[in-house]
Amino acid sequence: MIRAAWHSRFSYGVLLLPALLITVGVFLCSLAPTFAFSFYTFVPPASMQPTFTLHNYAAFTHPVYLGYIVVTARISVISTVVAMILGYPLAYAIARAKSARTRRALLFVVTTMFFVHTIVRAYAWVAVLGRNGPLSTLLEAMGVGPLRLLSNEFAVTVGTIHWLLPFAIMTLIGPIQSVDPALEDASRNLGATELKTFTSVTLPLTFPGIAAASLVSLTLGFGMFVTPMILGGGLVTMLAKFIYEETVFSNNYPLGSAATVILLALATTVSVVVSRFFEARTKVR
Amino acid sequence: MNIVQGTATRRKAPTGSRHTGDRASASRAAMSLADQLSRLGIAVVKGVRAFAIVFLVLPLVVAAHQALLPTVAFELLPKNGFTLRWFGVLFREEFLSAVGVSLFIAAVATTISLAGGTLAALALARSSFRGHEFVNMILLSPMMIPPVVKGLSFTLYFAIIGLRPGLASLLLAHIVITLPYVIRVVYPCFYGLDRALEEASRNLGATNFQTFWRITFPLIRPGVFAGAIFSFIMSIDDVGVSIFLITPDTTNVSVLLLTWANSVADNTLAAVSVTLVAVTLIASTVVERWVGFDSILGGIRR
Repeated sequence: MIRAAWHSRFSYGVLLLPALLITVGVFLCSLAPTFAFSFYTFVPPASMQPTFTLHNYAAFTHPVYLGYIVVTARISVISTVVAMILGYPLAYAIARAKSARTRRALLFVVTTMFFVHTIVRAYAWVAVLGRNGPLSTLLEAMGVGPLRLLSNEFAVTVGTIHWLLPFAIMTLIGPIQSVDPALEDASRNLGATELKTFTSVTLPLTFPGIAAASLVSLTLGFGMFVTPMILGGGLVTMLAKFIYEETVFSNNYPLGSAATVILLALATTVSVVVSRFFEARTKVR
Repeated sequence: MNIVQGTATRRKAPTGSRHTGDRASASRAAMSLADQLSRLGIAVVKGVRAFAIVFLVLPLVVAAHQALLPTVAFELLPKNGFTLRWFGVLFREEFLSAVGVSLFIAAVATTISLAGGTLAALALARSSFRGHEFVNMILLSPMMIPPVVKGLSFTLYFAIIGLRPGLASLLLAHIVITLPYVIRVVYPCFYGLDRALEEASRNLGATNFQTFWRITFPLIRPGVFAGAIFSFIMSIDDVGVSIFLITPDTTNVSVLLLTWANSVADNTLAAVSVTLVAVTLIASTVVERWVGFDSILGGIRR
């Protein structure tokens, strides 16, 4: 009996081994040098010294660098909120579709959008917002002077919302589906209108799901790289873009590493909050 | 059954209130206000829903239209007619070689992740030991981390362990990227499984391996297929990690397109976009037909 248990535990270990080897040996170990280098001293033009300094972190108290963090946070927060507001009704329509065909059609659109290449999704907005694009042409025809719609924070925010939206919808479907329709029916039977049923039954019950989806979408927003690269036109610097440019172009690996650790800290803090949140939710149930 | 009863009662409600007389008229007025508010609310929700769909899809339609225009300037119906000349880029050597790199990396990384991930998912679904949650968290952790963080860390780490930038380092990175998605998508499949079937197989004298290969695997095949599609797309889609690791010989589609997006000011990228959207539509249709989207949903929720 004991031998059998030991045997099965051993074989499960063997099954886990390849995946753990890759995740720990490649991914987790790779974080160590980044962490270490963030305390190294940068020697211009392109090298570094292993002398301990906090200078790379202190740099982020400078208004310009602090600005990058603020812009990153602002774009992710606004995009997340808008994506949740735009996504909820669609997720609800999918979760509570009366016909299987409607559900399949809507899911098809959303999943396809999720799978379309990130660069294509960002470029599509270049086509829409470009100086010679349809929106500018339309606005000028309406007499609204030439506006710069691209290469600013607005464009990056719109692109980020568009990128997060399919993800937001797909994460919201689950929580909405898990609300028992009988509860909504009970509310209607007791004379509540559709609106009242939604605001006092469905919405509160899906609140934990919305919060969890928002936090994950926030972490995705923090790491946005492609969208600011394509829609920001070099004028909107989010942390990920800063890290890339600081290391690959300026060879300042210590500062880039410090920015990476800061980004990582932001992302993991949010992730930990998410998992705590889920734990709390399952305990209540 | 429940729902049928529900609708029946709901239909009765207004007729009931008709009999309550004068005192009800005030409350009826209030009710109708609430009803109107409710109707307004529903109209707003429907409006937001329609807007969301248009907002999602319209930019791609605009890009598709742009791909057919002779110049970058927007014309609904161009004077000199639509053109297909921007699609010539699809046959350019530079583009084809980037596609080759992307497909090769995605295919090999997916194969390896699928093997490692399915085994890990099996172990995670079947075992319970101390630290089970922790192992689960470790295995899924790469997908919670922003791509650029992985990209920079891999560059520095690979340099230290002496792995030169090239196909091998790109491949290793993409295995890390795709592995958690495979685990995430395949994991739930083991729960819907009737274990009596495996039991029966073993009782009939099959070995553990035979049981897995002949019984368990065919049962979870849709999930594994969904995991493969997911992993493949995540590998092709990656920019933030690849951009740190590519060399001129191993430039993939993502990095090439990002370079073009920042340097080429004609409709080339629009043509490539249309093509990629068309390929995605085909992939979605295949997934829809073969496994349905519900198994995909599991991979997206993190």
